[in-house]
Amino acid sequence: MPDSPSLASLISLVTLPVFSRALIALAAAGAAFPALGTFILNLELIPARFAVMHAALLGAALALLIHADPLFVSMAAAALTGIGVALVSWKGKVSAGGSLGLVMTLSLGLAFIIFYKGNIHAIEAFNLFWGNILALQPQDVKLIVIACALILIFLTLAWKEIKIVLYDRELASLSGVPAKIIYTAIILTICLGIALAMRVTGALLVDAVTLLPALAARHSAKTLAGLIIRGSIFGLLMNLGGFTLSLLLDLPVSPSIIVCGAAVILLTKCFSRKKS
Amino acid sequence: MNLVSGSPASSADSSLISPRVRPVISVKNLYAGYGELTVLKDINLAIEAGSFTGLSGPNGAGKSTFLKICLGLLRPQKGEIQVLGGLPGTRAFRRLLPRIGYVPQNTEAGSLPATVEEVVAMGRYGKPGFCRRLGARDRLLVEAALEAAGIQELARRGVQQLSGGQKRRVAIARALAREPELLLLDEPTANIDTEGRAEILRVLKSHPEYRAMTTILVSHSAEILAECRSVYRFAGGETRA
Repeated sequence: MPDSPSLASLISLVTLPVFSRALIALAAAGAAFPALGTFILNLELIPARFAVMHAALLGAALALLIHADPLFVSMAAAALTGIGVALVSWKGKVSAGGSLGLVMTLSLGLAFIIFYKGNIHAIEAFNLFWGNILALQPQDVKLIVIACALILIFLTLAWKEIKIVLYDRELASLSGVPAKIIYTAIILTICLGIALAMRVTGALLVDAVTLLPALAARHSAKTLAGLIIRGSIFGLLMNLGGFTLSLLLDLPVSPSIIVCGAAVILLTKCFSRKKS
Repeated sequence: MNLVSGSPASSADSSLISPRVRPVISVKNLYAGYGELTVLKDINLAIEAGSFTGLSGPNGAGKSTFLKICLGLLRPQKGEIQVLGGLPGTRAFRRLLPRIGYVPQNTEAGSLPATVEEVVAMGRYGKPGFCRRLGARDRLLVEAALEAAGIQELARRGVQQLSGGQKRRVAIARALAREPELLLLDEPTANIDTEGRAEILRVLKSHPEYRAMTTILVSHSAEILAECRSVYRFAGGETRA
């Protein structure tokens, strides 16, 4: 095992383009993606993200078959899934588990049919989603920063509408706010965010950058504003802490972020128990 | 199930309503239910502006269904209904929704953490328009609603921490904060003790807009219904005047 780098060598490492790009992407994702986790947890859409991942894989398979841009086609597949999820789950108070299961398995089935008939190696499509935070290109960083900025703009502009939809969809509809439009926009944001995070940071890091900070924030927040702000703080702490840990101890980045996230969740849980 | 009207002033026959008073709710030959099941059959009624009306009857008689029809949450199977001059469930009716306050039967909070003040403020969310923040007047009305409901001291508390009766008062305050022309309450005093029922009645009647507001409440409580100017009884069997 190589020696741990000193602070000076750590700083010089971070100035290297590979690491600085990863740092920028992780900081942006840490600040904005926990909001998606808050949406997922409050709308009980945890199974939906699996459906989106499988639909994005189907999109990638289709893209390989027709020689199109895999990111574009998989994002379109994720968006279509999002609209489907929104339509199916709008009426129900709980997530449409059965329909999502169908989307998930059907997407996987169709993807494998395309692999077989199109003579495509499945690993090519899977590789598209096994992103690596240290392999980010400048355009990937640009994309993730723009996506994070759009999430924050959406939150700022439609704050009260998002809040009432997350609180109670029926109440939102009866209040005269365009509840169905906002609900669909939230689901689309979740789906596109997940597809993008998968492509850019890898499937392993999707939950780490969305759900873990949101879970940690739930232990102490009393309002939606608290959930979003604490989620962002915990997201930054987890991502940057995990990244630093990986450099210091020569560990892979994604698992380090996940371990760091789990530690933050345990700490917040202990702290909230002590407080109550 | 059919409708049986209560006091003479609130007969199910809409022709008894003075033509000068435009009814807030007018219903003609209404049939409604769920799928194949028809819960409401041939309902005819007219509710005057400014009235305090009770809806009573056994469970499953269609009282809550009627409120859902009024809000456009459920479409009638047959017949006509007009609420505030609009047809519930239509696109145009959505513009009227900010003028209607609604207290649902189930006032349990969702999983989103929110303070009492935030939940009461949600009553104003349809007023300023899409993507616009609440203004100073909205905040004053929220404060007034908290005060009217006697829950100012709970303003900073999380709704999940409240008792059933307190959650009801929060829901009533949220509906009142909207300055509704029409207030619909679905069993606002269910599972609440006598003292709590009297308190909720006081909240409704002490609101500054009380006399200008049309209030329709579903209740099983004789003491609440006794306070209503008119009572419609929803029951199975024939329609009786």
